[in-house]
Amino acid sequence: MARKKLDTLTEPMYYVLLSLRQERHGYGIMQNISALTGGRVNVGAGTLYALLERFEKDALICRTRVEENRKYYRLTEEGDRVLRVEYERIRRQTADMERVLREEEQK
Amino acid sequence: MRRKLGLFLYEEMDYKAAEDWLNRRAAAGWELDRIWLNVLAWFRPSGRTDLRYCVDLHRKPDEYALDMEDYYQLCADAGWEYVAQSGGMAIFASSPVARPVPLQTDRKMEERTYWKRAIRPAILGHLLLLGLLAALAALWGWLQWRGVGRAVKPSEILCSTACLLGALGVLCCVIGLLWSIPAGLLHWRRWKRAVEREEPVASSPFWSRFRGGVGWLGWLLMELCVIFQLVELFIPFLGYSGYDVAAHRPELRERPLAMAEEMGVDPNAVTYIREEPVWSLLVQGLRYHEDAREEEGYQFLSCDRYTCVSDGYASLLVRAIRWESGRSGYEAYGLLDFVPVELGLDESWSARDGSFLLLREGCTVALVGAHILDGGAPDLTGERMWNAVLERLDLE
Repeated sequence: MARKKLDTLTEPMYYVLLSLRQERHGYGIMQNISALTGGRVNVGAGTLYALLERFEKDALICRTRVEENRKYYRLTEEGDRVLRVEYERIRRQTADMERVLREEEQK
Repeated sequence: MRRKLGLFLYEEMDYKAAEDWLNRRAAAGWELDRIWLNVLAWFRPSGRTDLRYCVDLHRKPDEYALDMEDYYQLCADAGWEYVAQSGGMAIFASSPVARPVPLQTDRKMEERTYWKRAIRPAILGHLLLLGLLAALAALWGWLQWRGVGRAVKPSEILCSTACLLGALGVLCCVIGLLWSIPAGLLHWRRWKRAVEREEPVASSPFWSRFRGGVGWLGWLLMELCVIFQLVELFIPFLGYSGYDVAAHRPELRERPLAMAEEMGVDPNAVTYIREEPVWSLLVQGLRYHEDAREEEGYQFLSCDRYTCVSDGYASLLVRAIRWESGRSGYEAYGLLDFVPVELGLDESWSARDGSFLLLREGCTVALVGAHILDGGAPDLTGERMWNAVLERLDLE
């Protein structure tokens, strides 16, 4: 049975892919997400592991090396494309919100 | 070092209840050391006030084809040390650092994992097992009805610890299975509702442990059944069957058994004896048989005496013996149709005009019978013979 393709990304998915624009291992991703969001978004180790498994299967990320039982990953071209599509969607949403707020201020 | 033993009776579908239980133990100052046989949880005193547990649905690494070592390394990096495993539940303890983030933070993903690794396998596995048990029971029943193979007698089941343990074990397993299937579906519904409403998942500690306990008890009873089956294989060797009457019979005269003397047969005419000890947790006794050769012909004399754990159990044994004697016969004597007879005991039954007696007084049961090969048999209810039999059996 074909795996369902990711249509939209959840917040943890988005930040995991974002973190993998640089090569990182699992805990490095967790730390980066926490630092990036100021602690607002925290991804548990179990959730992260499942996400990395899924992203690797969907070819959004690739494993680069293994050191001391830690697997390192990096974004693939397909992963980069999916991330950019999601970024565009969020950006358009933000722009729409800003336009509505400006129109309300002008009234 | 002080240690405490607890029973870890949780199934995968109750992993949240298991987590709550471990955290309550941690709050009370106990740290999980290890889990043995998936059920015995050893705890040691903990000096930590910040200890927390997290249970994740993962099997042991060597049960997977994939490499899982990085998963445990990731958890350790994140502040969760792997402590123990119970079935499909991996148990982690928080490292003595700042409170680590729970292992699962995405509830939707956790809900999918819960269905895939806890609910679906439980329901499918239990349905399969129930189907298998039903098929085996149907096959056994059909074979018994067709008379294929040796029929299992109800009295043999009652006198066998292995059979009883096996029957109880199967019953517990069936109850556990029938309970787990709807419980799993209800759990699943509760989970989904909790995730939709962004509420914590409610866990029922008592019922989770109770249900897990029923299933575990069934497994334990089945294991004990196998052990007792092996023990019971050796019990017949404690008896005797043969023609060395002079060497073995005098010793048996000291037992409360009705023998040739009580049934009007010359003891010197006895040519063959057979004694089979009966030993189980609920019944002990002896099945005794002797052949005698007199002028009238061959006489076959039997005396089975049982001491049961209670009057009720003894009554059950009497009922079983009556039922099977009337349907499949007793020993090589053929069918015995027992009818009630008043002999002053709690229960008295007679067959073949008094030549076979089935008696119960309190928790003691006795089956006494005599048969002459060429026809005729003594009436054991006659006053003289009855008094002699009663005195020997020591029922009152």
